[in-house]
Amino acid sequence: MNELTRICTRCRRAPSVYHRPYSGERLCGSCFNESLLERVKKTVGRYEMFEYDSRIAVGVSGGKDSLALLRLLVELERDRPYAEVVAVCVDEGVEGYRDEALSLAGSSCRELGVEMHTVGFRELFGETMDEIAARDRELGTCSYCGVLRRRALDEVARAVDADRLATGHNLDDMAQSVMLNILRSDVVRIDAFTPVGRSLEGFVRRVKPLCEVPERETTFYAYLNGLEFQSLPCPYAEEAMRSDVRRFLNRMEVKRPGTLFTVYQTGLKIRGRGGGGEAGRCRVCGRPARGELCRACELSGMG
Amino acid sequence: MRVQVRLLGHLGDAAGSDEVGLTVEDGASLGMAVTRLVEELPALGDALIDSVLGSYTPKALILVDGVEASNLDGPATPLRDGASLVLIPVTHGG
Repeated sequence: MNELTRICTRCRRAPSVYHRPYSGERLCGSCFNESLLERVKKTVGRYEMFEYDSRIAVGVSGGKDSLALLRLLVELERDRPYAEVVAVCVDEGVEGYRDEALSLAGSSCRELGVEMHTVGFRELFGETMDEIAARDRELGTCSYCGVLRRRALDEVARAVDADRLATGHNLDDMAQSVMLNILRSDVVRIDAFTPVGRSLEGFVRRVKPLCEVPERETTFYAYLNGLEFQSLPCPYAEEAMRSDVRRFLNRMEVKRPGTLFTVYQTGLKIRGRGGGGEAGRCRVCGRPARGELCRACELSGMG
Repeated sequence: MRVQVRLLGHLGDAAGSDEVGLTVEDGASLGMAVTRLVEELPALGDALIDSVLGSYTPKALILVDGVEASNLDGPATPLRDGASLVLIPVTHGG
């Protein structure tokens, strides 16, 4: 044991291996795992994310967050004999990036005994993300990918009869969304900000059980539990304004621990105050839409 | 003294190797070892060091003999001869 090692503040027995600057906790490996599971359990309960018999589709990309989420939900739902967890994956068609990630997702699913279903951009939208990135376009690649990926996940979750779609969005993602919406003055999204989507007919309800878990902790969890995950950043990611916001928030979190929680909580406080208006239905697919078409139908040229 | 460094994920790709041995001064701190590492492997700089803070903290978790460095003394953590460092990228996505 290193002479600087402190005892776990939770069990008060084992040497700690992880420090949470925002709370002052120092945790041993076992208590770290337990505390993460407890936090996810509390989040799931607080927002009533699942029913006792939910068939939960977990969006798995092969990255640390989704693989951590899959493992945590398998563990959490073990006590619920009527609940089921399945993995759903999207192959956007980003050569050298997503293919490796899907292979890692497959290994993890086999290890956990979870069925895995994959759908591709090409079969759904007629072209891959690499092809979209290569053509003349008005928007950044992330705008296309984000919208089409959400659609693809919904399609595959519906195809496997899931009633919930759980995604691996962590606290960092949530705080970034709050900041982005403010910087873009996007009052519709500010108004609708939530870790749990609405129940809409014909639309699988989306939930984000890791919304209060910082990205550093999903990273440490993945390492601690020997999860083999893809850590290559997406080759198109740097185009996004989100990268600027992420860098800013990460620096603030280092200087002022707790910033991410504060921004996330602010998002929850200012939501639901009007300004969003009621969403209508897309005339092509029937999903929620602000205009005549939803963004996925608009961007994929289905309208 | 010598320390052993494991570079996970894209840090290994940037460095061109998943594992490197590093010679540092006796009594060197973690921060000194990271500085030496980036001097020897300049391609690691962008992937590991935040350009504004001049620190690895937002971009990576570093384990010193299995303990996350901020649970010790952060960059000031003194290293022992033969110490094992694991550098884990905190990469967006997943």
